[in-house]
Amino acid sequence: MQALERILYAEDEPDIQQIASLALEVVGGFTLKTCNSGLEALAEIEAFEPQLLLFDVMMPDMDGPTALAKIRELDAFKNTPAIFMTAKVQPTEVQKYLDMGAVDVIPKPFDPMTLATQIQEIWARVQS
Amino acid sequence: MAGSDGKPDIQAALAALKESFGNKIPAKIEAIRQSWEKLTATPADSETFKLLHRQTHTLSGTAATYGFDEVGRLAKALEITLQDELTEEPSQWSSAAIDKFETLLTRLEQPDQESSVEKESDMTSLQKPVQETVTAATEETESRSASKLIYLVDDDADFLSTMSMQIETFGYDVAEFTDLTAFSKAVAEQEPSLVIMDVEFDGGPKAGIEYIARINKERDVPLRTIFITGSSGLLTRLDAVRANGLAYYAKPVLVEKLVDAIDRLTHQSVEEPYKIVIVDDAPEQSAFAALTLQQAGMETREVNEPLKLLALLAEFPPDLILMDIYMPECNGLELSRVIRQMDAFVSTPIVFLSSEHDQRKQLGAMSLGGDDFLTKPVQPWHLVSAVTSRVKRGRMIRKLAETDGLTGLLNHSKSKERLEAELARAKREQSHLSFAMLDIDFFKKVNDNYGHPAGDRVLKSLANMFKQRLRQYDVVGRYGGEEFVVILPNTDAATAKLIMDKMRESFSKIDHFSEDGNFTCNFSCGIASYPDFDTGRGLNDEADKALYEAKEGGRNRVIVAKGC
Repeated sequence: MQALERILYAEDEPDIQQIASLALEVVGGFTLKTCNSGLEALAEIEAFEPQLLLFDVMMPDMDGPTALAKIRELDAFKNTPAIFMTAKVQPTEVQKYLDMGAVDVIPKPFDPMTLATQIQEIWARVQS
Repeated sequence: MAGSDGKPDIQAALAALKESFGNKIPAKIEAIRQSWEKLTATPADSETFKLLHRQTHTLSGTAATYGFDEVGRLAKALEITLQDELTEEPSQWSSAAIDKFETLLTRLEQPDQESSVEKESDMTSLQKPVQETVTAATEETESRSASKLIYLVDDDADFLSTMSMQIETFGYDVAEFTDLTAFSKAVAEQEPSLVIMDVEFDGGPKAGIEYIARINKERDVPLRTIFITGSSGLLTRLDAVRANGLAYYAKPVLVEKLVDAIDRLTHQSVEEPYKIVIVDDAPEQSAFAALTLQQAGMETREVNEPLKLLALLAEFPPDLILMDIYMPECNGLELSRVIRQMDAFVSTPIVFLSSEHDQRKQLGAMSLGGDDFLTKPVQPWHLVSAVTSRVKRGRMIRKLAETDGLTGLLNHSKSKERLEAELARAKREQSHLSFAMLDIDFFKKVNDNYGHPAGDRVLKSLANMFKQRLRQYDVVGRYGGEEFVVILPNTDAATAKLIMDKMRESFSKIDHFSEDGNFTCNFSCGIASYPDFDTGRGLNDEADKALYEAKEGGRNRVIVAKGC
């Protein structure tokens, strides 16, 4: 199985960015590219070549689902696994995101100490 | 700050982030209040509705992530009320829904609401590990004191007591053993940081080596042992190496050499943590760099207002400055020019951090005094390695320029510089500070009678004793010749006199070796203190006068300056 290293992360809220950086870079040891919006993620993706996308759903400029749809139009990232993070996790909503091509949905609030493990588990599942 | 598994660090970092987030909560609630007021005044304003929705949504997500559960719960309730009951269409608003929003918001604003949040969050998982960090820290101090425990084994009782007294002078705890059974029992009870073992124990030509080899056979980690011997044959040396001996000395043993070896073997990582100043107008950016570097064991200070940098440099002289290029008030390039104009920081490495990809501009920045250029976003491991290599080289160069080659203490000009810095800190913190100046008595006679190598050993032993015995933040310098200075922060004149008198007594007990027989030395000392004297020059002059008085009064004494 390929090890997960590079994650493209889009989130507009600096407070969450900060704690997620701690959770993913320091605790998880991943290489993280943090973007402030879906639009920025779209602009950065080709240079960064992420193995996994981690997107907040609600963002100004361009929200997570729209960004993912645009990314799927790029041949190189048609199959890059995507995870959404959102505070609204009604079962119908989760299904909606999965239908959009996300592999999982991580509810907010998340636990900074276990977020990296959670993502590793999703990654292992997707790879198998 | 580096924990064994790194976990406590993360918890501490998390607790710090949490605290900083907690301080921002009132402002976030206030912003929600303002949007709500605006929306009730102009219900048709859909932009305000969207803004309020975002504000409540964001607060509910962030607060809960940081462990402020009650704030998160109330913000979530606000978001749901806004979305499901008020909606973007004001004609649908019921007065009940407006009341509900108002009530929830008022509860969120309650000051006691915040204190209850604090109490509640004390129970969360974030708090416990912080305590673990504290415990880990105390354990570390304990183990540090254990690292001063030395077992000295020799069947010659006279040799044993002289040697142990000499070693204790340098701040170690020495337990003496004349019998091997008592020694093994002690090893089983408390692990020493070092064993000094006589090779020819009880007449056996290498009984000491054999005994250590036997003990080591039953241990996972061999005892750290220095052997001392009356013979210096190669075969015995070889046996000593095979018994995992770390060093080997022939009698008569030079105490200074032995202590040098003990220092080396028991303090393998005495290096001070790297000190880094991070200048960035965005607190999030500087906090992230700080956290990354702290994880690597460095000490950091953040400056978010560039103009405050100079004040910080005086009290926290860094090994390296990490600086954002584009900042308001004063940009990184201008700031680095200012830093380079200050003598004390001419050689401090400056690393620019910027999203500047243009190589020409990068080179321009370097010519203005920057040393390196890191392009944002910089990966944590890259940041740590870039900083580490710069600091390592910088420290080496600085050490050559700032310390005295013989003793490793600060040289004259650096000592004076540190005095000014410590004095500035004492003034700011309104604390005491004492400055001691001391001079070895009749040192010229030592050189004349016993030779310069013996004189050098006396200077080194004084330096070693101070380094071992004083607190980590005390500063010791060699002013020149046989003259030394000690800066004691947070110490008034009376306490400084007690400390220096103890040092004087210990020093006078050291038996110095020379080809022409052993001898002892003592020193005279003058002390001046802040706030009685409030300039570096004043402290220097008054301590010097007191030292002169000590010499006149018969030497081997400590005198406090008049007026202290």
